Amino acid sequence: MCFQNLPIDFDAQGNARLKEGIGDPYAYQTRDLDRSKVEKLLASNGHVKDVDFDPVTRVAGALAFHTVVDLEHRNVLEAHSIGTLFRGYEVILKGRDPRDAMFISSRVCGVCGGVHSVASSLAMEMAFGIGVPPMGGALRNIQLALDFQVDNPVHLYLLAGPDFSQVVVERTNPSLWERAKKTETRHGDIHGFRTVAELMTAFNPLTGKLYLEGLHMTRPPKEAYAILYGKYPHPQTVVPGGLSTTVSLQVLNETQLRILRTLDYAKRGVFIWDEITQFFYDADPRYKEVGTRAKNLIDAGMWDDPFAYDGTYAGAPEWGERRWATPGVIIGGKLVTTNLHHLNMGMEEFVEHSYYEGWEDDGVPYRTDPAGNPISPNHPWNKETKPRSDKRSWKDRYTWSTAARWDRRAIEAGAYARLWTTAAAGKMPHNRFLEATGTSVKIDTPQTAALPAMEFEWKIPETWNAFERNRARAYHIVYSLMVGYENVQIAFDLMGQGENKAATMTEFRVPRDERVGVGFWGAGRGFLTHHLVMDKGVLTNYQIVTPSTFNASPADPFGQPGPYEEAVMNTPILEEFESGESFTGIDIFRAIRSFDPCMPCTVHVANGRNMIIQDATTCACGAA
Amino acid sequence: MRVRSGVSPNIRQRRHLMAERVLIGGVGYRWFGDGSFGLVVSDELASLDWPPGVEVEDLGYGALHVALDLADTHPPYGRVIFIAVTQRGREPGRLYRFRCGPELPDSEEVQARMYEASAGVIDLDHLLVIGRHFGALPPDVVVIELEPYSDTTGDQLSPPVQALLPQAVTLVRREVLATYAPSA
Repeated sequence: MCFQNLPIDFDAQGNARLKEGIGDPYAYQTRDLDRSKVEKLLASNGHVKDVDFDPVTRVAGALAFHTVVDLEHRNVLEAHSIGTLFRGYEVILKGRDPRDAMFISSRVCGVCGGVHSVASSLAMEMAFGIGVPPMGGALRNIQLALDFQVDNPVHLYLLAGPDFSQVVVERTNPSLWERAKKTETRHGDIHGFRTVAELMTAFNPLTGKLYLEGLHMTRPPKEAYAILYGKYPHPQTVVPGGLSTTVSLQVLNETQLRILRTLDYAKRGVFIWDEITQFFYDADPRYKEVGTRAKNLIDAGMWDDPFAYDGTYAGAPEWGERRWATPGVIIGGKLVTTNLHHLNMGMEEFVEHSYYEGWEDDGVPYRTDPAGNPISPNHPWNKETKPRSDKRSWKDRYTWSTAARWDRRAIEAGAYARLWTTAAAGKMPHNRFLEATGTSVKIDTPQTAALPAMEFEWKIPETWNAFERNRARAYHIVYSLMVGYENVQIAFDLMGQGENKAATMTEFRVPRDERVGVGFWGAGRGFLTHHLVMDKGVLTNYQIVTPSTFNASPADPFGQPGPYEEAVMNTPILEEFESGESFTGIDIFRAIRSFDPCMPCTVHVANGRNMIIQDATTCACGAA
Repeated sequence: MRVRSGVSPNIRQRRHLMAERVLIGGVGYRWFGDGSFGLVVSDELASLDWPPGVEVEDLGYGALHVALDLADTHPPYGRVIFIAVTQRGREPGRLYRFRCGPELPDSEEVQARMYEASAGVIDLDHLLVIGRHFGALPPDVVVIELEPYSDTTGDQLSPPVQALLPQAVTLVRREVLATYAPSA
């Protein structure tokens, strides 16, 4: 029984149904947010301060963060995640040919367009009733494995790394810097840094060796990407039913070469992030509380078994569990489901604290999914997003993000969630390089230019915090490369058998009747779904739920904060500072950045019109 | 001052530059109302005939990756012309031309822009700062920029901005083709 809060139970055969005897099963009571205590403290204590952070977007704006910090007791009393950017891609998609969604949704983001293209084509494959030939499936898997070789290292070395750099640590925690100078690394023979101080110096923004290498190492995966998929980051060859590309032995060889080149770098990264994590834990165990929150995580799974995926909703529980990343939900550290139907049934979005009107008066188009399972009026297939102009109020509305929830819980998405659900499920089909054990994932890597063959094991961590997010992301880079490597081998095998078709050869027409579809997929930052509804050959609704839709979400109507907010409120202030003026908030930055925040694709709107005139800046940045 | 060929020294210098590659790039999000003006203009320019060495590109992606792509271009571009939309408090609904100088903000601001650009935010100033920082831009960078009326979303330009499209195309054409003028 995976649902504790939604009104769903299961019969003896495991079929989901609404609980009996409940008049309005999905109705809920909204709990007001009470700020009276915080307001009183702010008014009466000089050491309790409003502190605003711009963890991602200081300049052009997309995500801001407001906190109330008690500098004397060194804790965070209140936190608000604020999506300041307003987008309209879902509006544009209404009334269009569904195939436009691949290209339009791909332009949602300036760095991760490929994941949206594929999620969109998966949604269409379901709605159109088409599958993908094995070569197309394998090539799609390679594409996303390459995509993550840009996203994940850029995060670790260009975004998160500087928070652990010499220039930052020396300023925010001088005693830690002194300790780092005296602390010898444990794996210097592999990564080349003799002391932790040397490692921290390599993290220095713009000049550090690891920073510059992170930049440089985006090149091999982008080169491989361009060969098969078109220019990074907006691929041109993704189509429903596979890829409109031709593959040759030479192309596969060139792809494999670049995967191996990147793998050599990725292997070193695991040791670097193990080193940093251990150093902070040893220096002060309270670092385990930085960015900690409930072990509630979600992943839609990705990288389909090319021989199992059939694109149907009915088959999703089976083909989902054959993915290289097992879909699943972790609640309180326990895996509660790996079934894509359950995952879909549990999804809801709430807008009580966002700049949107509810859609409760518009009726409920879908009471069930195509398999007859109950879904909520707040499910993406039923969602109608209606922007409203409001002044910011911490009690009422303060963000363009919605509150995405699963089983009415605040839940976290990330590359690490993918490792966690896969490890805990232990369902990954046998393959050459990866193994899910129930408590870990083992990654067998071949010899590369500078390093021998190595076996890595990412273990489900005992504590969940900013350091474990970053460390897991370093393992995820190796993991996804090996998924890519395995799929290159599959592509070689298929080619040997003369199976070169990259896209379905089955002729299909865009259906004219009413259809729904969902693309269950993943981004470098985690969970991704595209839900579509179409009728008379055009889209009538299109909803995208990104990792940051979950992570950057505001409080929900039940009073639960979003994951960023929760993680920040649990973060102890370990920075060394003399007064409020010298306080930088580094612990809070580390907490938020560990999620790999990304905002351009998170906030979007659909209101049935084709053009929205809006004033996001005024709405999002107006006086409280 | 005698100009033997009837071509000013300035033009002669530009003719020399024309031996080098010229990039015209639209910057911005696509399908983002007036915010997509730069890309709409570059789409229009891409459909026109250009002299050899002039390329028109859609640069509607993260500044970090645009900068890396430009840095990897061989031979490098001798001249870059960006078309974009930025709110700078000028009179809205007008096009502005400026030359991007060699100055760089402090390293803290460069890194702040790196944070945003790496997180998917597309912004002309990010591209100028990051491109300059990593030496990906030539000294000669010109920007043709729209000061928008207000933020809009949608798949179309607003009517007044749509009306500016021919003017923007002409401005960019003139910027590039002036170097081919027979006389000053």
